[in-house]
Amino acid sequence: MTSPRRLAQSDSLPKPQAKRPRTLSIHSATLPPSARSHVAMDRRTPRSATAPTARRLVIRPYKEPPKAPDDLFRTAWDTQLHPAVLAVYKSAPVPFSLEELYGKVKDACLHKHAPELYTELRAACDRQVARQIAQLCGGTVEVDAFLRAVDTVWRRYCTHMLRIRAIFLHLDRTYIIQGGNPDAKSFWDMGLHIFRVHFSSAHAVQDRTVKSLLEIIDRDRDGESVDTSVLKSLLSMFTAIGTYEKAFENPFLASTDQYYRKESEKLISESDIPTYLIHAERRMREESNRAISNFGARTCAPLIMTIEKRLVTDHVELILNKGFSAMCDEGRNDDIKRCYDVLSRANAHMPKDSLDAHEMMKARVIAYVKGVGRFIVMDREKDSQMVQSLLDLKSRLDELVQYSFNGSDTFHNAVNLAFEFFVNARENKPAELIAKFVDGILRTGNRGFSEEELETTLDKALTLFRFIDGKDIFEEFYKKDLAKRLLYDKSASLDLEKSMISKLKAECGAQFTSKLEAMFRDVDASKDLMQSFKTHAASRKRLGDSVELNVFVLEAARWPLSSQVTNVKLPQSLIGYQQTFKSFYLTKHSGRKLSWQHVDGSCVVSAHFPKGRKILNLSLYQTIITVLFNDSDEISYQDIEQATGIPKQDLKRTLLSLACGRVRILQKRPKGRAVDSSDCFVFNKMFEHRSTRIKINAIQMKETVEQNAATTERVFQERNCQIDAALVRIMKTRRTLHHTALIGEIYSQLRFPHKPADIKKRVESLIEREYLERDEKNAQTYHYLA
Amino acid sequence: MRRNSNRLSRSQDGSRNHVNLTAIDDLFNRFKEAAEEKIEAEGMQALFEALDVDPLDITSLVFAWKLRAKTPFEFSRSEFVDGCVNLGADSLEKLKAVLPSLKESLNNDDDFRSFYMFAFDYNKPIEQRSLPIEVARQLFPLILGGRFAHIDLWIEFLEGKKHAISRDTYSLLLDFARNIDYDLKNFDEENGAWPVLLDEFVDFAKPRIAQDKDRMDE
Repeated sequence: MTSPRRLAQSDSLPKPQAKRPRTLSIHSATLPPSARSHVAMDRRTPRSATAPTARRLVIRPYKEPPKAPDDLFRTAWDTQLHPAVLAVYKSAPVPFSLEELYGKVKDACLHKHAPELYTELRAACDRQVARQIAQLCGGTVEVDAFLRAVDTVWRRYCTHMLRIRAIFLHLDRTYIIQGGNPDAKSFWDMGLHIFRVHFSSAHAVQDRTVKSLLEIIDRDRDGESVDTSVLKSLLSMFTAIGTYEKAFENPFLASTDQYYRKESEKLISESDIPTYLIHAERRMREESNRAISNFGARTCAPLIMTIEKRLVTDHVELILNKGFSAMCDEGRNDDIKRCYDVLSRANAHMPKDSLDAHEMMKARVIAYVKGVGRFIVMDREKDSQMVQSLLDLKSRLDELVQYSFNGSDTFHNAVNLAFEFFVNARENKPAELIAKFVDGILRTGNRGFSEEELETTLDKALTLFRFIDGKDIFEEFYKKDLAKRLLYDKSASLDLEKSMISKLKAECGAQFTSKLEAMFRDVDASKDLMQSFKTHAASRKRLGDSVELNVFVLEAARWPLSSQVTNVKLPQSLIGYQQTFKSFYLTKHSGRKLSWQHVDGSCVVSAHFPKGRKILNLSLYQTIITVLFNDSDEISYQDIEQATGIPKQDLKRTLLSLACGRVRILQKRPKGRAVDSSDCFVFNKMFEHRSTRIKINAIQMKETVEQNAATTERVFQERNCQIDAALVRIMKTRRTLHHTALIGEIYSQLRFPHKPADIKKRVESLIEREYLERDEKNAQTYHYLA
Repeated sequence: MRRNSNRLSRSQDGSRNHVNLTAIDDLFNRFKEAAEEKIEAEGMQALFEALDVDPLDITSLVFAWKLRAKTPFEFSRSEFVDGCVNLGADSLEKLKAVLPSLKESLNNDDDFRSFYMFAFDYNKPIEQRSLPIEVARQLFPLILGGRFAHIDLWIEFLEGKKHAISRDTYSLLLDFARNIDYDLKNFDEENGAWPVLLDEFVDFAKPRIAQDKDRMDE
């Protein structure tokens, strides 16, 4: 035994000397007397004669080691140790000094009585615990008191064990920890073990404890105030004795399961979904707090899972069925967000064969949007508001996705999908209305709106346009409106026009906008042309300055112009200008053919009424008729028709605008709301108006029905041609192709919606026209006929 | 009818030698128009009467097919003579005797197709590519009766139609009649190259057939 080792001992107690010293042992006086070696002086053997004077001190061990009395341990246990243990258990003062007791224990250990001591001690413990647990068995105290009793037993037991351990520390250290007996547990562990054995085997006690605990947890859940310290303490007891999982956790999870199963079923049938969701969210928060403070991390996960399962997963369908579309309708984004968040917790536990909760939610969103959108699109009464309604819907949904669904891409796509579905549910009309909507913006321009706001509105309209399958329909209507804007100078801002074109270009490619851009070029070129016409010396000489002529030279194929040939007779004064311009133009561009579109012409006319001079903004037709009245005051319908050559329909409408509109520079005889071929028209001498510049609106033809149908028809014709062209193109390269393959190729080539039946019809037509033939053996295969 | 010509001559080879060409000429002269070198509607009627054939019966059409007549309701001299030679008949009696066997030859699938396509060209106006719908309505029961399970439904379906039947559609109708099951279940509208008219017919017929089946089940 060396001193460093000794110092290293955590306790200051000396180690017992196990071996007898062989030669010399000088130990300190702290050695207990029983262990002290004997120092003896041997005088019998003088060492040598050579050194008679030297005296040696020889130390020899005892021949027989001293023996402790046999009954040393028994006496010590019976008289002192056992009573001491009992006293501790009774929480009474120990009648012996602790040092003395400690010494006894040490003696017992030194004299190899440790196993006996251990056994005795264990037996004593065992008896004590058995007694304590048995005490808990009886009695019918209520839950709290019972738990407190158990808690007290446990706490006291722990205190006692600590004290007893202090007394028997030597035993603990030497016999148990140093491995004197591999079966023996450290004193503390032994204590826990004993407690566990008794506690677990006394089912009445353990079950009652667990049940009581569950009861107070449920009471806590119900909102009663509960002493959680007992709960915590007892849970740590279960953990300490190692039965937490088996005895407590499993029943606890089961009871939680049951509790929330009951609660959620009750709540979901009684309250509305938003309330339920708030509740569910609160519950989950509470439980996770409870779990963290009481149960420790291990229970936390399964507990939360159980709750999520019962509160959310079980009711996903119901939550979505019962309240979802209502929430969407009322724009309760907060509730929907909550719904989304809550459902996201269900995702982990959805049954295998079921859809992801968010997928289910997505399906609802799609269904909802489809429903709402379809209603808007199909409501023919409200066609005029359709686009605005759709834009409102879109921005509402965008906000919803952004806020409530965390901007999830899946939901974004879902909304888009739904839009695509219903926007195309009603063929062509939405495309037309979007074009009209854009026209409206480009016409009115920034009346109270900044350029930026208009751009945003256009962008929004474009997002709708993106969903449209029949982009060609949009193009056709857009083109028509653009033509009007350009020719009548109705466009609010050229910048805005150009920006719209570039937007369309970005969306659909240059091919889509090339025609539209060409229209702009025509208009620009015409302006230049007019500039040079005005400075053209020869023309000027012929015309003088009395009339200013403005001509748009447009390439017929690019503009949606009426192809109707008219024999309108211009007044003599204008014919000269027309001729001059024509010859001017043809000198610049020989070989071209100019055909005049009188229908779309307009004039500014200065009129002298008896009551004053007015500047009239008239259409060309109106002008032609008005000019007739320069020569006579009263002209019959027949004469007007003859003199002007304006087609009947147009003539009647024009006369109506002059004689029956808001501004009447002519009077009709007899008076009436319709123009008849027997009517007569008289110059209104009494005409007066508060402003000098007057625009007499042409009465617009009811555009909706016929013209609209014509525009649509044009698109369909165009589509047929495109299908034919694509079919021939494909067959020409492939020569022989199976029907399915042909349809597949066609799909990739066509850029508008089409049904297989449409294509089959075109194929049949091509067979009929002998571009294609069917294979003789296999009717599904086509050959190209060169 | 390219495919068909060989077969016609082959089948009649045996009897060709015994035909009296003059007798056939006489027979033709008996029924032909006075001013022209062909048998026209009246002569034809007389001819079929003499042969005890109802002009509305399929036999008359089969006869025209065997003659390879090019123009509706007209037999030219060469058509008539060549036809009779091929049939090995130089008298009314012999013709009458050979007629039943002509009908039997329709039992051969290929022959029937050639006959079927002949009927299209023979019945349509020369200047048109398609078979007018009214003609089609009369022709189909005559030639497809007993060969197309849904012939009645088909005719009923055509009632509502205005467009003429194209050659393509006409030709594929035979395939349809041959290959499509009674319940139309094996008709693949999505992927099939069937003409649109047949697609429409299936849409029209399916519920009706289902109805009939229900009634039968009851």
